[in-house]
Amino acid sequence: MKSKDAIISLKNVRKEFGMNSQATKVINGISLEINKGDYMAITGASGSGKSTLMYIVGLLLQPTSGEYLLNNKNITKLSGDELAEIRNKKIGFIFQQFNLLPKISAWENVAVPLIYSHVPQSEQKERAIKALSEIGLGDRVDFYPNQLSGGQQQRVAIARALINNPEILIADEPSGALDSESTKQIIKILDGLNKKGQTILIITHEADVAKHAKRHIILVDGLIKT
Amino acid sequence: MIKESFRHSFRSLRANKMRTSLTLLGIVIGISSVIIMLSVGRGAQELILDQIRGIGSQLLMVTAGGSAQEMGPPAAIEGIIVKTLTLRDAEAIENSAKYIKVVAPITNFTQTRIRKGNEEEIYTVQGRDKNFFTSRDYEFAEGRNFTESENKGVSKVAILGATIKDDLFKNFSAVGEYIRIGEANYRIIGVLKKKESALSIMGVDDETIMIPVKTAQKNVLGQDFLFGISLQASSEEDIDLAKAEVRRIIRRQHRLQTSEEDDFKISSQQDALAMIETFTSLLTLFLAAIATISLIVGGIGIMNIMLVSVFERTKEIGLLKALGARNKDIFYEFLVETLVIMIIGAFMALVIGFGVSYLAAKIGGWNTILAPESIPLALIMAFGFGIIFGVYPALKAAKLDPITALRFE
Repeated sequence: MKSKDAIISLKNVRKEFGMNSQATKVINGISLEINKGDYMAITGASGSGKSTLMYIVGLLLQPTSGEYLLNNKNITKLSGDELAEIRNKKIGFIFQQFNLLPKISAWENVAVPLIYSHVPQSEQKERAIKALSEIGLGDRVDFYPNQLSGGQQQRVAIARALINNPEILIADEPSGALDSESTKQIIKILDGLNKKGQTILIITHEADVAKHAKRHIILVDGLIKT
Repeated sequence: MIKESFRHSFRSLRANKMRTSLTLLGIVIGISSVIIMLSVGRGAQELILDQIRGIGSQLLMVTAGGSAQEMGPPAAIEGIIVKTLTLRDAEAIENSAKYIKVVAPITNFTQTRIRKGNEEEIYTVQGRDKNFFTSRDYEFAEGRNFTESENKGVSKVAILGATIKDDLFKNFSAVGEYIRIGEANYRIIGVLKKKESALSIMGVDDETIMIPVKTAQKNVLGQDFLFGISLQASSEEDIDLAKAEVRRIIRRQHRLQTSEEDDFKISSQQDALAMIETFTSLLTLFLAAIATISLIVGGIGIMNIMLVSVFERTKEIGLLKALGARNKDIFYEFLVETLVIMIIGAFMALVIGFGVSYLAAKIGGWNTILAPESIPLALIMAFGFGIIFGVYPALKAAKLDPITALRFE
């Protein structure tokens, strides 16, 4: 399934932790393409390597071997700071625990990625407030994370992830810390984003969540189960 | 980016008020003690220099024995007894020096047993010319100076320092009373006023009994040479001419060949000032160096706390990296945080340092001298120590692996 639309293309990627003979093999040769507009879910038992695969796709971890093409450009050998810039502009993260900074307001949290893309300060606030409004939190921009519910916090995190219009949104167990009502809400938001063309990769162990995705990949012992 | 780092660090510092203030405390104590030590040192130095200036800038002192160094002390002070300087030299200066107004020879001093009635005590005795007192503005609490005939003869009269008078006579008048120095009785004719300063070119005047030069030479010391000759130049401008003239006269008196070194030393007030200035500057520097130790301790404190801060914010660092922060962004954020604490500390230290210096001056009785260079110095110290102690924690933060940091609980 080769497509010119592939945003991300992994070729025979392996990841080992540790040295030589004692190395733990976590990813054992995965080839994968994520196309523009994809809505892909990765599931698997704990220890299957799904988190490691997500970190590799998210450029937080470099593979031991194999190739990573982003927009048909090989970025396997880039330096840490170059990868940071790509993460900043092309990848948006949502985490299970939201990972908002507790001591700053909602809009300031949303604006954090803008700091690292050198957006002028005046524009930062404007864009952050717009992003929050789009996700239905326009009246909560000055709230601190501890003044928001779990679902609201996750929505702030989504606004943050989308602030730089990333190529791909990576969601790591986005509903893992939420009740069923909030889960529905978050999934609805993700579905809506995908309808508008946002590429989404979701890592989850919940079948209910995975079934929303258009493509579903199951990982077993560091390999894609076919 | 740097501006952003400043915003971040202020936020982070505000969020941890207790930790921030404890860190500040170390820095403030460190920097302010350096400022205080500099100011106290400077104030004490000015106090001493003022007192020496007060003695008079037209004064010269000839002492027996040459000196190895230009600025060094005369040989006599080092305990070498040089017998070449005599009353004949003093007379020669008096007779032929154009630029010298007053000549006042003085003898060595000695510790001697003094008796008054049944009391016995050891005091310092020194022979001094009457002109010594007039040219150096000594004031008498009671009685008078030596008369011309007392001064030239071997008369048994004495002038007491204030402390000795208090010791021997308490509140009663001493003039007209007798004390026994060695084998003879001396009539007390005068008592000096207590000196404001503890310092005098001759040592501690308050604790000295002063008798005429010839009396001291013949009856007490048993020597015919002098410790020195105190001179007053005709004017302050002529001090160098006077110095040269006196040197010429004494060299002729001592029959020194051109190739021979001086066997005496002429020092002016300026020389003494320069010497004491050098010494007190060193003292100030020494005090400041000690204070710097507390600054280093403060700096280590800040490093410690920054390391704790890096540890506590591990997860945050991981998140920032995931959101696109480069290593150097994280590095600057932590370094700037350290620097912000240091600079705030520096300003607080300036306020406290100047305040304490002012109080110390009040207590010490000198004018407050706020060394203006304290301001740049404090800032440079803050910045320098901020860099030295901030780089390591900042590097540690920057080098954290994003995933390890993100998973950190």
